[in-house]
Amino acid sequence: MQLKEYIRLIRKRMWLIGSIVLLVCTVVGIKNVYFTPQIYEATAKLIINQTPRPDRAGVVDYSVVQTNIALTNSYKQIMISSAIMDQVVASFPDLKVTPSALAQKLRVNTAGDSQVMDVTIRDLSYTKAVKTVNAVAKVFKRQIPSIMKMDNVTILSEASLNDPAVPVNSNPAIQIFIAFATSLLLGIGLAFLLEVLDDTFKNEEDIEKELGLPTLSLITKMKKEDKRSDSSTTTPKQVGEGQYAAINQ
Amino acid sequence: MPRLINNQLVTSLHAQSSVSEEYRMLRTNIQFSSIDEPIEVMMVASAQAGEGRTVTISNLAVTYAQEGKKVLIMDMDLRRSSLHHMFGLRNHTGLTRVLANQQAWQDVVQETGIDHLHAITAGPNPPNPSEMLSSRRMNALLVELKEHYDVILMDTPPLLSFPDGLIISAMCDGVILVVQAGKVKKDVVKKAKANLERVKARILGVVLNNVKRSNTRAERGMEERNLT
Repeated sequence: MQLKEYIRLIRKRMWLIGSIVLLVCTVVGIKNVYFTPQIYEATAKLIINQTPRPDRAGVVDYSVVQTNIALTNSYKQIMISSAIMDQVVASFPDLKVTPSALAQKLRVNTAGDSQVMDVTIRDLSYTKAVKTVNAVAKVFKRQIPSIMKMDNVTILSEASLNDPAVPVNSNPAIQIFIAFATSLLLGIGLAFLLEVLDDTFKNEEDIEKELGLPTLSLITKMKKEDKRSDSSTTTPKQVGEGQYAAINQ
Repeated sequence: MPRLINNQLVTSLHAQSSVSEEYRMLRTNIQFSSIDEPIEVMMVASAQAGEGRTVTISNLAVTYAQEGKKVLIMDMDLRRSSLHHMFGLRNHTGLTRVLANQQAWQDVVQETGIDHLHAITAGPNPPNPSEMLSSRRMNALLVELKEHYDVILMDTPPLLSFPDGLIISAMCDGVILVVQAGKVKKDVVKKAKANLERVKARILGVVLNNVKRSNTRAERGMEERNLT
């Protein structure tokens, strides 16, 4: 088939393709706008830094920094451990969360080899996410001295309720665009499939190819205008008019 | 004359329409497909019912009549005759009366209201249509009719349902195969064609019927012509 053929085929099934695209986009759109809960994210930053010894004040000690970075990885594990989770749940009963559920919602990340830890909570309510993440940060800072026997965690920044609450799950517009592209491909694919499956005669080429017979005439579907008897121009009586001269009598 | 003519008879009701032009194209192509031995007796055949045999043969008959030829259109579909509906004729007498030796053919020929075009309807349904059509009386009748008419056109039952179509094809100079576009499976039409070839019928060609308006080249040509 040639490009022209493809275009003709797509134009022929335009209604099918269009309705598939419209249907899929509508369903995805409605699902995204009305039935997908919006998820919010709140982040607190902690810094792991040993209080320098009084005699070395004002000097950044390389080995101390390295130790802290190494510690950060252990701290990530400690934070999601039940030692911290149970304490959070016990200290902040108004969060109404179980330790295991909390551990699942919690994400702890470090940006490369740095002493800073990002503690992130996702929740359907931005307020609750902020409260929870701050609670975790506070409890962690409070518990570390008793677990590690050193006091080196500082809360760098807490999550704030004043920040604008932006949902983090993807934009409905992007979802609808993806749905549009996918359904368009699907529709075109279906149009080609139907064409392949359609084994009826549709044009002169089909007849010549399949039957090896000449096509004497193509009679188009009669429309209402053709069937309407138009008395002003042609009546049965005037039919044998002279313009059809006998050619071989 | 206040005759009730079926609105599918466009060649008569709407002679200038593009569909009428397509029927005239059919007539011309039949004439060109046999220069040396003119085709006098023709039938329309189709694999299945409802492909448009009667409409095709009726319109073709009108275009022949408009050309000034003496045309006889016969309803050879003795099972579900319908030609009389096309021309608003009555079917209480007809071919079966002649074949049963009850009437002479001159008594059953009816005027259609179109100049030069006469019709013989099927008549009452017989119990044995295939035997009637293959009778010697039928052959004799045809020989006689050929002397009175330039063109004889026959409407037939569907090929794959009854043997009648094949019997009639043996009497004809040519067979026009009507195929309804986009409806009938290729295999079905191929089978009908094979049946016709087995009885050595001469298939003049195919009329592709009910083609959608937008995608025919002929139609596009027609529109251009109408613009000028």
